[in-house]
Order: sequence, then C-alpha cells, then structure tokens
Amino acid sequence: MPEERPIIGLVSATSDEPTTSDSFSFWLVPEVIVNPFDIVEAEQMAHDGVSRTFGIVTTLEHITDARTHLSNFISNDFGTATSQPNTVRQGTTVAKVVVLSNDKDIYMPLPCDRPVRFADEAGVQAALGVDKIPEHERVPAGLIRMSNGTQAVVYLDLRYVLGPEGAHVNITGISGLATKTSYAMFLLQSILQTAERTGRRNKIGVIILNVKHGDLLSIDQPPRRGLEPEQHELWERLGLVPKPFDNVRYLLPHGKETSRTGRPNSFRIPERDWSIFAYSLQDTYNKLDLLLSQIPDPWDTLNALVGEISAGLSDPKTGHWGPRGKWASVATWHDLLYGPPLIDPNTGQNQKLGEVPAVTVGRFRRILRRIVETRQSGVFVNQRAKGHKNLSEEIAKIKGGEVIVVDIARLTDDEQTLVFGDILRTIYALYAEEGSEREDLPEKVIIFVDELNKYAPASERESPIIHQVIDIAERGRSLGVVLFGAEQFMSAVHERVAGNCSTVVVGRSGSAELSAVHYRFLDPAVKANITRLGKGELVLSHAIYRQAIKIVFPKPAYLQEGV
Amino acid sequence: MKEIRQIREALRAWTQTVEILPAVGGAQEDLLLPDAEEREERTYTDEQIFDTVFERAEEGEWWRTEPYRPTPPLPRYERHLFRYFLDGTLRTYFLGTVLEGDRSSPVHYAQIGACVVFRREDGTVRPERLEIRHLVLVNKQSLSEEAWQQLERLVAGTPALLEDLSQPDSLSRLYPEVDWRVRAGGKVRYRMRALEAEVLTELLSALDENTWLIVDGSLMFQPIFKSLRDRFGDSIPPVLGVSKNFRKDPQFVFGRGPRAQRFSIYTLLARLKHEHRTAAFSAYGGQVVFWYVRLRPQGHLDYPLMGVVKCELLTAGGEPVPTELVDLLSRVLVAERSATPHGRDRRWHAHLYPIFLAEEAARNAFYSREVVQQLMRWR
Repeated sequence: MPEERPIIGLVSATSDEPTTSDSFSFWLVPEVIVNPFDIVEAEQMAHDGVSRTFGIVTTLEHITDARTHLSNFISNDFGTATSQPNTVRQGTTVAKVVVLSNDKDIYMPLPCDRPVRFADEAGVQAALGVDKIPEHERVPAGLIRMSNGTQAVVYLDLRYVLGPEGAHVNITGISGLATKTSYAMFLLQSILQTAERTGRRNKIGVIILNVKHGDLLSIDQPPRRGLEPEQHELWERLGLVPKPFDNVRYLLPHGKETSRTGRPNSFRIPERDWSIFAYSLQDTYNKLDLLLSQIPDPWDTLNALVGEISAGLSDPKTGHWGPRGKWASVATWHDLLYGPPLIDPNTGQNQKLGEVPAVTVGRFRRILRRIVETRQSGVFVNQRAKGHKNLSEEIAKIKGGEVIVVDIARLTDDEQTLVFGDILRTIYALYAEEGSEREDLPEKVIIFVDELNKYAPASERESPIIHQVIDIAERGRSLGVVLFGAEQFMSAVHERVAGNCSTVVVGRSGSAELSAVHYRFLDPAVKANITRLGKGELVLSHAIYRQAIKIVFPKPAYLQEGV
Repeated sequence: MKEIRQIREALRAWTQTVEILPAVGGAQEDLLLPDAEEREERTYTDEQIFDTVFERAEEGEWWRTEPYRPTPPLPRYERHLFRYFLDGTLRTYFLGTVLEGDRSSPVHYAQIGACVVFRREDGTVRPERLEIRHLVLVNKQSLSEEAWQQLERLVAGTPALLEDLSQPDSLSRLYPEVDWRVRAGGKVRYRMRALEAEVLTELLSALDENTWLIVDGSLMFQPIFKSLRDRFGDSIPPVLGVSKNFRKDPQFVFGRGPRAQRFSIYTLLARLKHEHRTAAFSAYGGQVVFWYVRLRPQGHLDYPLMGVVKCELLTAGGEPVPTELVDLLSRVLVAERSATPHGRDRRWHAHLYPIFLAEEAARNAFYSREVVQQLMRWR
C-alpha cells in the first residue's frame, strides 16, 4: 500500500447504509476535495496481508446532525440570516462509491473505518481492468483527470472495439459542443496509431462519412495555426502523435454544376486524392430499395416493383447489369421513368408490371421522379462521365491502412441513405459473401457515420437500410466490420444497434433523454453527472469497465473549418 | 468487545455460587429519571429563599430598581472565552436479580463516560479528553460475605468497578432504599459526576482568565467543588456551571422590610427577557453565586421557563462577584445558543451545542444497546 499518498477519508458503514460487495461510502477528511468520477482505493483484507478495493465516486453528500431544516432555522436564532454560529455544526461530506474491482479478487464488503486514498495512475488502470489488457491490444481512449491532480490514461481493449470479443462504438450527446465527431476522429487516429505501433496498420481500413459542412474534408491537412501547446501535451500524455490522417482518399458527390464546372457538390474541396462519384441507373438498379428506404410501404407493393425492376435490368446469367426483353430499352433514369415497360408507349399511361398494379407503378414513378429528378442534388446522372466513379466499386477497392472519406453533406436525405446503405452493403458483401479472398482486403473495416439515428431509427417500421445497419451491428464483430455511430439522442437509435455497441460514449445530455432504456447501463448518479458535463468531457462505458468513467481527450490534429 | 465479554464471564462464573433470576429478554436498559438534575440540586443545599444579591457594581445596587440586566450576545469571533466544555453521560442496564436465601438484590451493569471538548478558533471542536468506565452494581447487604467477596474477586479481573448499592453517597441517598433498582440510578449518576470531577481536575491547569470551561450541571457537587477550591483557592475559578434543568422551588427576595419584593422562580423567569440575565444570588453559604440567563425568546417557546439556563460560579473567597464579570459571562453564554441540538435532544432550548457534542462523544464511545443486550446474558 503506497503509504505516501494521504488518506482522504475512512470507510463508513452504518445500520441503514451498510457497505456491500458493490458499493461503499466514506467520509472525507475536512478540506479534501473529491468529485464524482474520481477513482479511489480502500484497504481491504486478503489471504496474505491487504488488498485494494477500487471504486468510482458517484455522488457526494454533506450531512449534519440537524434532524430537519427547521433545526437549522432555529439554530440560526430563529431565522437570523446574519448570525454566525459559535460552534460549527457537526457535519461531514460523505462520498458514495461504486466498487470497480479488487486487485486480489476479494469482494467482501469493506469493513468500517478502512482508510481511503485517491488511486494513482496504476491504480486507476487496475481499477478499470486495463492492466489485464495485453499491451498490443490497448488503445488510448482519453485521460482521466481527478480532483487531486492525478491523471491516468485509459485504454480500450481493441478486441472489444474491432472484434472479435465485442465491437462498435456509439457516441451520443447534444449538439453544439463539437465533441462527438472530434472524439470519433480522435479514437480513429488512436486506433490507427496503435495499429501502426503493433504492425497492424495495413489490416485496418476506415470509411468516414462527412455529413456536415466540410469538417472532414481536410483530415490529411495539419491545422493552419497548429495545435495549442496544452493540446500537444495531451496527445503526448496519451502516448500518441498529434498528426493528421495519412493515406486518405476522398469521394465527393457529383452535383448539378459538376458537368459545367468540374467541381464536386461539396462544401470544400480537398487538396489532393479526391474523385467524384455519381449514380447512374446502372449503378443503382440493384439498390433502389435503399433509395426508397424512407418511403412508407405498408403493403410491400413498392418493394415488389423494385424487385421486378432489379430482376428486369440484370442479366440472369451473370447477375450484373444487362437489361433485356421488354427492359432492353432502359439505360438511363429517364428511360426508366418515361419509357416502357413502366409506361405504355401507346397511351403514355402507367402500365401493370407482372403482379404489380398500374397504380403502384404510378406511385413509384412519382416518388422516383422526385428523388432522382426534381429534388435531387445532382448525384443522379443519366450517364456517368469518364473519370466519375461508381461509389460501390471505389469502396470495394479499400486497402489496409487506407482512410476513405465519403462526402454526403450536401446530399438530400434519400441520397444520403442510398450512399450509406450502398457502403454498408458493399462492405458487408465483401466480408460476408466473398470472405477475405482479396489479398489486400483489410481484416477490419471501420465505418464512421454521424446522425446514425437517420439510418437506424428507433421506430418500429422496418426498412432495407435498418436491416442493413442491424446486420452490421449484430454480425459485424465476427466479420470485421465495425460501426462507429454518433447521434444527438441514442434513444432515437434502434435498440438492437445501440445495444450491440461494446463501447458507448456519452456527452452532455438532458435528463429526459437519459431516462430512456438505452441508458440503463448507467448508474442513476452517473446520469445526473452527465447533465452537467462540460465541453470536451465525455463519459465512457466500455465492455471491460464495471462502471462508466469521465474522460477528456485532445482536439483533432487536422485542419477543421474555422480553425 | 473484550471488556464486556470479560465482565460477562465474571458474572457467569458468579452464578456457580448464587442463584440468578435473569431479566426478562436479557439486559434491560433503565430509563433516566426526567428530574434527575433537579433532584441532584436539592442534595447540595436546603436553601430555598435567596435574598442576597452577591454582586459588586461600580454603579451601585442596580438590582434594587430592576433585577434584570441586558446581555446581548458576544460571539466567539469577538470574545472567545469558553474553550472547553465538559459533560458526562451514563447508560444503565438491569441484568437480573440475585437470590440468596430469602434475600435478593438487583444486578446492574452501567457505562459512564465524561468528555471534554475543546473549541478551536474557527468554531470546530475536537475531543480533548474522554473517559469511559464500566460499573457492576449489587446491594452488598443482600448478599452473604462469601458471595460478595467472590464477586469482588471476579470483577477485579475485569475492567469494571464493583459498586455496593447500599453504600451511601450524596446523590443516591435521595432515592428510596426500598427500591434498589431506582437507587442504582442515583448511584450510577453519582459515579458519573465523580468521573466528571476527575476529568475536570486534570483539565484545570489549562484554564485561565481567557480560557474558560463550561461544566454541564452544578458546581456544588462536592468532588467538583473541592477540586476547584483546591486549585484556585479564594479566587474565582474560570469555570462556569450551566444547568438546563434546575429546581423550581426557590424564592427570591429583593430588599428588606415591608417594601421587599418577593418572587417565585416562575415570576422571576417569566419577566426575564430575551438576552437578559437576573441578578446573581449567593448560595451554598456564600461560596457559590448563581443567576439565570434567557438564551431564546419566549415567543418562540412553549413555556416561560424554557430557553433559560442557570449559571453558577464559585466564590470560595466569600467576596461578591463583579457585575462586569457576570455580564461578560452571560453575554458570551447567550452567543452559545447557536447552533442548537434541536431535533436531537428535547432539552435543546436550554442546551449548549458543545456540551451536547461532549455528551454525544461519550455516548458514542459506549457499547451499543444491541451489543449489551446480546452479550450480557447469564447463559
């Protein structure tokens, strides 16, 4: 037991509030400052001497010997607010602690009056079980800062982030604090640097969807004015190098002006390694279900028509693009919308297609016209120009060590859903159907998307995109496909998606949000603390931790808008 | 636990010699008598009429016009006079009845404690001295010499002191001899006060004119009185006795002859205003002065005598006390009304919080009722 560290209080067990295997309380030595999320250690018995029980402070209470508030009122000379008592009323601050672990696996309740100290960095890591993670599987996830100034690096277990033990990360919290995306990018950088350190960099590929402004369109550029010294220090304290991402490829959407200007439909154009993607009918005919994901289809009629169209436009022998028969004349969006077989060339009317009635064909045409013609951003083209890419093919080329950024910030909701679904479907097919036959296919692919609730909403309605996301969430950890999702409200995300995340990161959130079932893994006291988290502070729950902890992390070391 | 186990084993060994009728349901706690302090006060003096104001004032005999003086609070941060606070506490259990032939005696076990707390400059307190004792009480007269001697031998091997209930002392003589269980209460109380006197004696060297001690209860208890007189001789000891419960039968007379004013204690205290004191009267043959101070306004309390404490000061030299000193002590005492143990002690209105803390410190050092009830069994 490190005797040089001061005792900050003694364990207190009472008849009303006993210590248990899971929790204890201690009173604080006057003048000692302790805050929620501080990690403390208490002396516990052991077969051979003493052991250390680690715990995390959840709440603090100040109690006095006054039975009621009325006693205090009376004590102040019947309500004289200016009076100062001659004798200070007996009182103490009591910290409530949830047990994290014991270094000798002894979970007997702590006896009364055992000394309590702040844990040191090694203690914090033992408390969280980090010391049991093999060195090469440790990913720095942030820094714990305790009230006594102790700092401790906390690590995630890579086996629970990228599989196979667990997978997926979900980051949630109210917007406006620029914390969620920053943390995701920090964690990606941390994973890549860890992989590099352990010789696994070329086994991990990353796909990032840029959903807002141009924030993620210059992640390979250093910040113009560099990082502040304290941010540098923080990166280095975590054992990481503050540097932008390397080996980055950007895929930017085609826009309405692209054919004239040659510029993509993006808020910002990266300095290098970018190309434009677009969707012709040929690129999309087998993904129309994704395109129509947001459209209610209670009787499954649209889905039936989509099936007819996909079947009609593909070559039955190869399964690839190959319209034939009555579909032979369909080559473009325009052909599909205004020609046979959906339209009777003689009457110009919608016509029945297989079992699908003409009225459904009409509805499909109206919806598709809106999506790919009238309200489209420009990503749908009748013919992809030379040099413009098929997104699916580009994603399928992903190599180990590569970071692909797909910009969807200026796309409409339907288009965003198509792109995200296309990426998921492509990756899923690569890993689930083809296995890792391709030599340069990375062992793990991480897909990061903000506003995950758009694609996997908590609503009961089923849709192709929800299925796609759930598939990844449930089977991804064994396949090596990992989802990093972020959203304002985790309660708005499908429970099967959120529930499959081995790592959950929570930023400041409202108490109404925190009362949702999605947050039942958090202790009620921790929830109360989440409502007052500051900028740059997050609560991290990881599969191997027994309780959520509060962390800080450094600012991203790449060029951001306005920085 | 070791101490109480030793006592239990000694008592169990005694059952080889005597027959015991155990208390029903194990050790039974004897409740305190509500008027114990008043009873105690009556043992010190038979005086009931007090007609001598024992003050010396430059302004003359001010009490002839009005027997009260204002004593606005003088808080700690202006004058930190009272630094030590002494109180004792006790807890008595009836363990059973010892039978020998046709004689019987109750057997009691008691814990007594005395604690002095010291108040720091910032108003926080720490225990300065804490003494806890164990007592075993039996009526020797009801036992054969052999049974008593065996008990003496057995108890000698434990941390407890053996007390003979039939041995007279100043307090238990008040209680009827026929009821030895009640008398045991007086005996334990005497021992507690004697322990207070012991603790006080050890503390006296730390006191001076700027460092006063408040003792809970009367200073007329002989061991305390003697200790103070031995130490301070004819000068006024820096020790104030404060009683929250006092006799209700005294009469007070101001002046002489037909124009003399006579007050019952009720009249005297009903007219005593908030933050005022009465004149100080001589008692105990001129060796003690006492007066009353109202700590809390009557309007907030149920009864005119609530919120009033009785103060005592030793005047062993037989000289009147300067009015300025009585004023000063009273003013500093009024400031002691905050904080209060309201909600934790029914005597809160006249209780001084540091005294309450001293009592709590001693009581918290006792074995709990549950421990005593479980361990003090005859078999």
